[in-house]
Amino acid sequence: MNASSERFAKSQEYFERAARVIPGGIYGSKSPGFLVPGHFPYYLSSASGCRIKDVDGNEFIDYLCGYGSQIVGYGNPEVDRRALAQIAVGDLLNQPHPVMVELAERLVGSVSGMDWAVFSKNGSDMTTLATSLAMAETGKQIVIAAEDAYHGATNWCSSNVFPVFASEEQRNIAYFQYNDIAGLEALFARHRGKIACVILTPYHHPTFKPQLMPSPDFFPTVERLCATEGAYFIMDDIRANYRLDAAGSHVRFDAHPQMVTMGKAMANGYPLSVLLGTKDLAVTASGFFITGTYWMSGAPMLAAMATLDEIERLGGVPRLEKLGAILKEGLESLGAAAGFGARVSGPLAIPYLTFDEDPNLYFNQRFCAAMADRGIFIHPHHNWFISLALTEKDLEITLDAARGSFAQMAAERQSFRAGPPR
Amino acid sequence: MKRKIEALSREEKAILAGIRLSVTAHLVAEVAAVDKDLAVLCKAPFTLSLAAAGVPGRAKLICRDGAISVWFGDRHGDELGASTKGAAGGMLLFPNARACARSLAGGRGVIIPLPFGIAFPRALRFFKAAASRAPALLRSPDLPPTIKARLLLAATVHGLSAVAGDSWLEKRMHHFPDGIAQVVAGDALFLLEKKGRMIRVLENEPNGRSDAAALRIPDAILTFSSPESAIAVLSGKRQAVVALGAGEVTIAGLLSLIQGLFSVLDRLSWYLGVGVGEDEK
Ligand SMILES: Cc1ncc(COP(=O)(O)O)c(C=O)c1O
Repeated sequence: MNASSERFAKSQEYFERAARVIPGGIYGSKSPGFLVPGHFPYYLSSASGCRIKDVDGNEFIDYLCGYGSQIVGYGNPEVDRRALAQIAVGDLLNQPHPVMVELAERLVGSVSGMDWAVFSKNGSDMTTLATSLAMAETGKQIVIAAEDAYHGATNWCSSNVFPVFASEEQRNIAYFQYNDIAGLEALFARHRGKIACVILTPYHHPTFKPQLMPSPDFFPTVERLCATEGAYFIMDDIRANYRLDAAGSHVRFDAHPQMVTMGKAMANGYPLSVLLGTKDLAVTASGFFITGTYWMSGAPMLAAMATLDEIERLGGVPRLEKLGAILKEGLESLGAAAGFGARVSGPLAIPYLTFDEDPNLYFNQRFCAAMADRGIFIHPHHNWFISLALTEKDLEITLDAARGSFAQMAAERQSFRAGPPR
Repeated sequence: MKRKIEALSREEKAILAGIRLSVTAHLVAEVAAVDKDLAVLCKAPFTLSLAAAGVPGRAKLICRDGAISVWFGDRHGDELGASTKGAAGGMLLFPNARACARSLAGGRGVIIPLPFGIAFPRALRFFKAAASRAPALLRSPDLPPTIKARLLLAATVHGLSAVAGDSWLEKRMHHFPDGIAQVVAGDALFLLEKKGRMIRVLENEPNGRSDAAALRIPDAILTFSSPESAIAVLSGKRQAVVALGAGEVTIAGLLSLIQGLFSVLDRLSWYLGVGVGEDEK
C-alpha cells in the first residue's frame, strides 16, 4: 500500500465492498474516476460549515458543497433546527404541511416574473416536468437545448446514449452551441412550427471545460425566436440558483423565461426542487398529474424557508461574490507567478479552474490532487461552489495550499509524463 | 441478457465475425513474436487472409523477415504489404459470419481453404499451430505476466477498433471527443486514435509505417499499475471501476475520451459474450 492509499484505506475498503453489491461501486458523477483516485476520499462521514470529513478521518475545506446544495454551510444550525423540529413531529404526511403554501407564496413573491410553484425532490423531476408542460401546452414536440448542458439524468436529456433512447425519448431534442445565435436561428428555421420550448441554463456550465457567460444578445434572441414560434423559454436555474441573484439568475442577465427550475441550494441539502411558471401555463399545470410519494414532505420546505432567511442574514450573493473574488484573484495570480495559465471562469460564486495551456486537463488533475493532498477539496472536472460558511481565514488556508500546489507542479513540470500538453 | 448468435441482426453478426477475425489475427501475430516453436514456422515469407462470406472486414497476416504483421479492414481498404516473391499463400474463408465467430471462438466450424500461391501450405501450417497455441499460452501459468498483459491488451485494443463501426455505437461515438489515448501495461504500450466513428490502433502498424499522429502527445492516458492488474481487468476477473478505485489503474488527461472508450469496451464485451453455438465456447 502506498502513502495515498493508506490515507484512504477505509474509503477503498468500502468501495471494494460496494463494487460487489452496487453496480459501479459508486455510480454517476460521484464515481471515483471523476475525481483523482488516490488523492480523494470515496466516502464521507460528516461535515460542518465548510469542512467535510471522510471515513478515514481526513478533513477538507470543501468547495463542492454537496454539488451546490450547501449554500449556508453543512449542518447550518438554523436550517437544521427548523427542519429537525418538523421531523420530530412528522415529516411526510398524507396531505401537505401548510409550509408548502408559505414557501410557494414566498418564491412567487421573490422570483422575478413567476406566478406559481410546484415542488418535487430532484432537479431532473422539474426539468422533465417543465419540458412536458411546454409540449402539452403547445401540442409541439421539439425541445431545443445547448450542447453539453446538463439538465438531469432522465432519458430525454441524459448522457445514456443507447440506440433505443435515441430513437424515442432523445429523438425530439435538438442541440445547438450555447451562445451561437446563428446556430439557434437555424434550428428554429429547420423545426418551424414544431418547437415546444427552449431550455437553457443562465450561463453555460459544462463539465471538463471553461464556463461560459451568456453574450448580451443571446437571451434577447432566444426570447424573440420563442415569441415568433410560440415556444416556451425555460430557465434551468438548478445549479446557479441563489448564487447569482436572489430573484432568480435570469434577473442577472435580464432574461424573461416563462418557467424557471430550481433545486440544489434552495433547501441547503434537504431534498427539494421547484418549478415556477407564468400565469398562462397555470391551467395546463393544474391539469397535469404531478406527484411523487415524497414530494410534499414538510421538513425540506421548512428547511428551504430557513435557508432563504439564512442566505439573507449571511450576506447573500454579494458576500458569496466577495469570497469568490478572493479565490479567483488568488488562484490566477499564484498560478501566473508559478508560470501557469490558470484561469478561473464562471460566476464568482460558482468558479471553475482550467489551464489555458492544457485543454485535456492533465494540469487540472495534478493541481486538484495536490490541493486534496493539502486538505482542500476542489474538483478537477466539475465547477465548484462557494459557501456562505466560508471565511476569509479559510480562503487564506486555501490559497496557501494553492501556493504549495503550484510550486509542486512547477517542480514536477519537466517530468510530467504527458509533457506540457499541446 | 446473454444473446445467441441467431438473435443478432445481419450487421451484428458481421461485426462479431469481424471482431473475431481481427482479434485472432493480431493475437497470433503477437504470439508468434514470443513463441519459439512458432518462430520456426515464420522463417519463410507468406501471406494469409482470413475472411467470412458476407462479412466486410477481413484480416491479412503478412509474414516477412521472420515477423508477422497484420492488416485488418474491409475488402476495399488499402491492403498492405506482401509483395515479397514467393510469399503468396491464400485465404481461409468461413462460409458465413456464424461459422467464423464459432470457429475463432474455439468451437467447430467449416473453413474453406483457398490457396493462391506456393506459400499456402506453410501459411496454413503456421496458422493452425498459432491459432491453437494462442489460447493455450494465455491459459498457461508459466506465461510471464508482462507477455500475458501485452497479449490481452493487444486483443482488447484491436477488438475496440473492430467494434467501433457498429451502428449501435454511432451516437455514442459522436458523444465523446476525438483524440489519442495511450494505454500502458508494463512495457506494452498502445496508442488508439478515436476519430468520428473510427478507432485506429496506431502502434504496430504493418510495414513499420510510422504515423505522425502517433508522435503527438496523447490526449488521455490509461495506465495499469502492473501487468498483473492489467491481466485481472482485461480477463474480466476484476472490475475496471474497482481497479480504478484501488489505484491499480490510473487515468489522466481527457477523461471523456477514456469514458467513451470504456463505453465502446462495454459493447465489445457484449459481442464477446454472444453464444456462438452448441458448445458455446
Ligand atoms: C442545471 C441543472 N439542471 C438539472 C440538474 C439535475 O438535478 P438533479 O441532480 O437534482 O436531478 C442539475 C444537476 O446538477 C443541474 O445542474
